[in-house]
Amino acid sequence: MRPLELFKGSFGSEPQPLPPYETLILQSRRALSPLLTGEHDTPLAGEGLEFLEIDDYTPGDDVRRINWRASARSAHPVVNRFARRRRLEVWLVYLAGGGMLCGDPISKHRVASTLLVALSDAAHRMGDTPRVLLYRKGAESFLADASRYAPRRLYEQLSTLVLEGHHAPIQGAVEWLQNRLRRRSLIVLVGDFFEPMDLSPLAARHELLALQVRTPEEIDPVDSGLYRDPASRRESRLALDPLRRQRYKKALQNLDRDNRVHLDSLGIPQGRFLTDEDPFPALAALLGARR
Amino acid sequence: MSLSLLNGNWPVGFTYPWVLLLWLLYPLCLRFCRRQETVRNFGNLAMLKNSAGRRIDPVPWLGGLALLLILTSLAGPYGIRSVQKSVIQGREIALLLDASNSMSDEKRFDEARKILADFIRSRKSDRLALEVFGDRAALASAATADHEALLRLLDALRPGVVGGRETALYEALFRTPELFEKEYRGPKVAILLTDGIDTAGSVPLKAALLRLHRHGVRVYAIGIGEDYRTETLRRVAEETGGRFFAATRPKDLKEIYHRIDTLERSPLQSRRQLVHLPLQRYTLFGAAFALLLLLWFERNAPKGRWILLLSFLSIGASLATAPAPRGDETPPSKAALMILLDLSRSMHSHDLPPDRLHWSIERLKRLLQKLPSAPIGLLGFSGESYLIAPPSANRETLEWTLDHLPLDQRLAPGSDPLEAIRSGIEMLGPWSRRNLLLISDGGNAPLLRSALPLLHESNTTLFAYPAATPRGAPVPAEGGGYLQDASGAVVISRLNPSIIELARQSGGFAPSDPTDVGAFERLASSLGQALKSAAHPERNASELAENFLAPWRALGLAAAFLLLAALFRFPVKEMR
Repeated sequence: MRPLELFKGSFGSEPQPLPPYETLILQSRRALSPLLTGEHDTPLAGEGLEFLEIDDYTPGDDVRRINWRASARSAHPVVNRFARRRRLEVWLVYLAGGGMLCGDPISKHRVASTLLVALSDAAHRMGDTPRVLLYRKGAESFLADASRYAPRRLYEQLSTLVLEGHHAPIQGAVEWLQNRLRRRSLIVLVGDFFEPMDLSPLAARHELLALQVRTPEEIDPVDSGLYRDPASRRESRLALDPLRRQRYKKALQNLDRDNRVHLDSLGIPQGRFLTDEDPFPALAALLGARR
Repeated sequence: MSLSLLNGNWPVGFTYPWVLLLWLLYPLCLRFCRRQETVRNFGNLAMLKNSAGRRIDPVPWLGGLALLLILTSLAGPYGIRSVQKSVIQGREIALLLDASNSMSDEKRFDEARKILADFIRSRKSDRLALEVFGDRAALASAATADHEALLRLLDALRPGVVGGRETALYEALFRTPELFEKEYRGPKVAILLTDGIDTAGSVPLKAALLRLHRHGVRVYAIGIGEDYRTETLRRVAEETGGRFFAATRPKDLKEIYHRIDTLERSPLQSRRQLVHLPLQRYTLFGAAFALLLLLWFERNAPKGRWILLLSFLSIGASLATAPAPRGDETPPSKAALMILLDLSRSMHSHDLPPDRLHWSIERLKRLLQKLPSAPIGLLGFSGESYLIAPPSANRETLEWTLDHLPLDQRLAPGSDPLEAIRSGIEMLGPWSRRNLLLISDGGNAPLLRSALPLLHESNTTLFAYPAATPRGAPVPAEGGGYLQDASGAVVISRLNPSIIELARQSGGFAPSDPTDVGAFERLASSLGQALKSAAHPERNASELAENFLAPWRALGLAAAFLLLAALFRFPVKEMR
């Protein structure tokens, strides 16, 4: 024991190391390849302009696609379907706040990084050039790499990204994207979404995908003790009895419900990824459903 | 260094205030030290805090409080209480009591003593001196504010205590000015109580009156019975500015004392005296309680039991090494010491410089400075015993008495330590732990066989300081030359080793050689131990500073434990 350690300065939390790049890519391709091979259209491509067919309206269809004339003739609502051919600009947006450091033994940052690298790799393999925004308030990083090494560079960026002490409010990212995006794009948002969100300004012009990353403890905290917010670096000693836990869970459920209703109203697909689960099956399911 | 906050009306002070500065390390450590406790990173802390309710984290506050209380204890806190002390500023009154045999008629002496006791009790703010006279005038007690001691002394007096055949009335008046302290500047009042006329003739009345007049002593003369000379007592009273009262019946005395009490009412010149009371134990108990609360909140922390143990060891070490604070609630002293000082002729021998008696007095003064505050009395003896000062914690009075010992007085011939031991034991009656210090050449009597059972029966410990050398010296005679025996040979007075043997067998200590400095220190140490439980509740700040555990010792001990506890508490910060 070294007594002088007593007086060392406090240290910040470093992101937990990501799995080796090759391992990550291998796992990613194994999970997502069935979606990317054969005659399938790209799951990341947007809806095209070429008319394909008229189909019965199903709840969730964009009301702007309703073919009113045909609906009047057939006496039930029908919608126009278009071929998914048009290539959209793909944006991977990571809300890289300090809160993403949470999770033991696997952090939310590690899961989010896995998702981002996998999506980047998938996009490159389909011939797209995804743009990446690592959003931290006041310290945004924008990557636009068309080379085949782009996923590796993203991996390296994520490996050394400092999250401690940074906030990443979702509305800040929305504003940033609104000011910069000119072309219709597909925006994949990755974050923990612990705040009310309003994505309608983006959803009016762009297609969105929301990937929510959480730890099980954040959903159901169990222990009393010293808690710390890595974004503000503030600590609080909390005594969590069943009543307080219930109160927290209720508040979180209300927030998630409001966000889910909001995303559903905008037709934004959403997926939840827990740190104690393998993210690839959930990602494959989300992308497969979108095709 | 001592810091008292009294100037700002704060009733506390610190013996070592610099220790409190160490507390500043605590906020620094809170900021910079690592903790072993697991800190959970939580992304949604704001919502969790809102759900958990707003609560102040008590742990750092309790830790700070516990540390502050421990450091406060080490800083030597003492309370400063201002108490009303009017005794010192009151008057000095000399009581001259006729103790000749005639006072035993019609129980005059008992009645006088009883009413005198009431008078003493009613003069709470005065310093009272007592002189008794019979064949000669003898100082019974120098001016003292310790009225309880004076009452005990009065209770021990009997008619004839200083020879009862004669009445040395004028000698008593002549010696009255000596009863007042030299520094005393207030009105000097003497109350003379007698039932006879001066028969000793040792001092002329005129000389006595002249001396009283010169020293401004006002005499209230009370004649008891019918044998006294009214004119003489009236003259004494009037020439000194006092009054004469005739008490034909004992019950008149009460009224007379009441009138004197009214005439000589002391202006209550009370003075605020500051009493210092140690508060260390209270702050340590506070620290222990704060630590207990802290550990309750930290009960889930790793190695919490070790922290608990080490923290309490730290408190325990401080408690064990700290002196017990003594306040007014401290029970009164159980131990007392009576000094038996040999005043016989042989104490004028010159084998110790300048002679045995002055050597003894000088050593006694040094010894008094080394002893803790406890009731100490002084009894002189030769062939008879004379109580010079009753046991009292008032050290000033005793030192004054030693400076004013009536060395030129005619004392009964011979030296009887056994009688002195018996009287000493009697005077220490109220105390459960009796100690005698015999300062004598030992006389010639074989003491051991007769005195040892006496000491054992009364549960008294005898200490002895031999005031003679084994080689001895001739005894100066009163009229010049040296004492000679019947055959004309010069008498050589030597140390009687039986007093040393007696002291040792009674459980006390006696140096073999009076000139051995180391042995003298051991005697002081042994006496100090014997009187240890008798420490006086009122101590000043410097005494507290001496008695408080030096903070660097306790601090080292406590800090060692706390550092160990801190190493358990702060080595690694675990992040999740």
